[in-house]
Amino acid sequence: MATITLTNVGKDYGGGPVLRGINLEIRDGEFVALMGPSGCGKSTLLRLIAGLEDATEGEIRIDGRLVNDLAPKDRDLAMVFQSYALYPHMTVRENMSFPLKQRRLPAAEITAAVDAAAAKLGLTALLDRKPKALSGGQRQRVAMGRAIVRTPKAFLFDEPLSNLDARLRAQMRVEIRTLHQDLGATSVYVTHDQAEAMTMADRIVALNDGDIQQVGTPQDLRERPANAFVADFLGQHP
Amino acid sequence: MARTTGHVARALALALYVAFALFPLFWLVKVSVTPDDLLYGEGVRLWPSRVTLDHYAAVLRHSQFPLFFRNSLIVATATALAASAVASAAGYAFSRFRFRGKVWVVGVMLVSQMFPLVIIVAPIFRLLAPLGLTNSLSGLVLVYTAFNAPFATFLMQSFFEGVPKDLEEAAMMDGATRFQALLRVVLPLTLPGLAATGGFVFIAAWSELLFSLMLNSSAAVSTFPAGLLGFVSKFSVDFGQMMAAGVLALLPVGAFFFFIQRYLVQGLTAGAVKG
Repeated sequence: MATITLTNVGKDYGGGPVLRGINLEIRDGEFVALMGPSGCGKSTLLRLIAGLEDATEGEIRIDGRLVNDLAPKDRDLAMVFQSYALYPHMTVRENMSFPLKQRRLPAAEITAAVDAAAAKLGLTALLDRKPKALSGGQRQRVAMGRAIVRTPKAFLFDEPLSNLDARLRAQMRVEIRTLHQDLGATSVYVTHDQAEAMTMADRIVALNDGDIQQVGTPQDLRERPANAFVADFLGQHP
Repeated sequence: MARTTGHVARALALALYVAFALFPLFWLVKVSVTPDDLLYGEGVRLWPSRVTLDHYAAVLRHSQFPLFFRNSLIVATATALAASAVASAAGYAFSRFRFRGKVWVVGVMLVSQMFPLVIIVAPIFRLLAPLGLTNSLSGLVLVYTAFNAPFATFLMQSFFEGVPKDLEEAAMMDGATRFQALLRVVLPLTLPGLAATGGFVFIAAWSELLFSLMLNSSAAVSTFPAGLLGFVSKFSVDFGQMMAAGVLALLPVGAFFFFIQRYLVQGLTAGAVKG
């Protein structure tokens, strides 16, 4: 488990800054939501933490260690993608084993870890299926399983529920939250859905147009919005 | 009623086209089994009154065709492997990275496809001769690989673009380097494309005549198409044996496509529609 510290982080793809002067401290074991409208830079911020994009300026530290020049695989983070990004040519078991195989764990340990994670997510009966034989909700679970099968420093979620129907989404919110309480892992959760952010997060980072508008607990944001943007964004219904 | 008529018309049109496309192949087989004395007398009959396999026997036993066959197989296989390897690497780079001069590299590759081969045979010969690469199979593999790599690269690029970027990013988050992600996640998913690309290159190398004829003069390193020309002499053409050899030349290509056809349809459409 880890703290993630961003100091004056900026990102520019070459067409003007996407993120400017981001300062943020994500505490150990905290569930933080990055919330904002599409194009606000929340996904980019997550990808900077993941190492999938390089920061143009500023420092990113995980547990105090500067990781700006560290490859994604060396940052020891797990990520759940919006598209789930399951490996289509592998079974559910192979998908979930992949991160452990990359770390060259003994086969017996891998099997045990996958079985445990599958049991936790109710995937045991599906272990031999390929992703295309799964429903959207099941795929989402496998993506979660692939993340929790090892013990990373932190979990990164990139709008993981936005491809599910409303009912499943509500159910998965509770499950992810419960999972977080079980594992106590630092989690960064990107969403454009204020209801999701408000119900799941310990703290919310409201972003707009590449700037942080406000950081606070859901209650802070609701009762004391820092500006009209935050108040307006929370007031909308999805 | 109108629908049935439409169906029949469509089936008829397709049947006509198939007959049109396959007729030359049929004629090839027909001439290859026609005895020499009947060849001109029954020239326009659809099937000769007598059938013989003598031409095949002659080609297999008394000509150098087994040797040419082996040479072609070596050259085409090596070219298919080499060009696919180069094309995979280059295609991946084109589909995933932005780098300085990319437009120029693509442009030059495109232009390289526009030269008529005839005008570059002589310079290529001058280049290869001092290196000892004329009259050699490796020389042919080198030239074929160079000429097929650009098209194969464009093919592979479109197949790589059909694989979502998320997948390799997921692999990298899961502890893979970019190269491992390519090897374990992206390449297995482009296997149909790789098979299709390999198939195209194999065919191109298998049937190439000009370079084979110009660069290699010794029979020991002649390929099949160059060998076929041996049946044309100044005053006569041995049609029977030539056709028999032609039928034999079709076999490996036919077998190759038989095995990859499953991937081929998938491969040719995979790049077009994002899965």
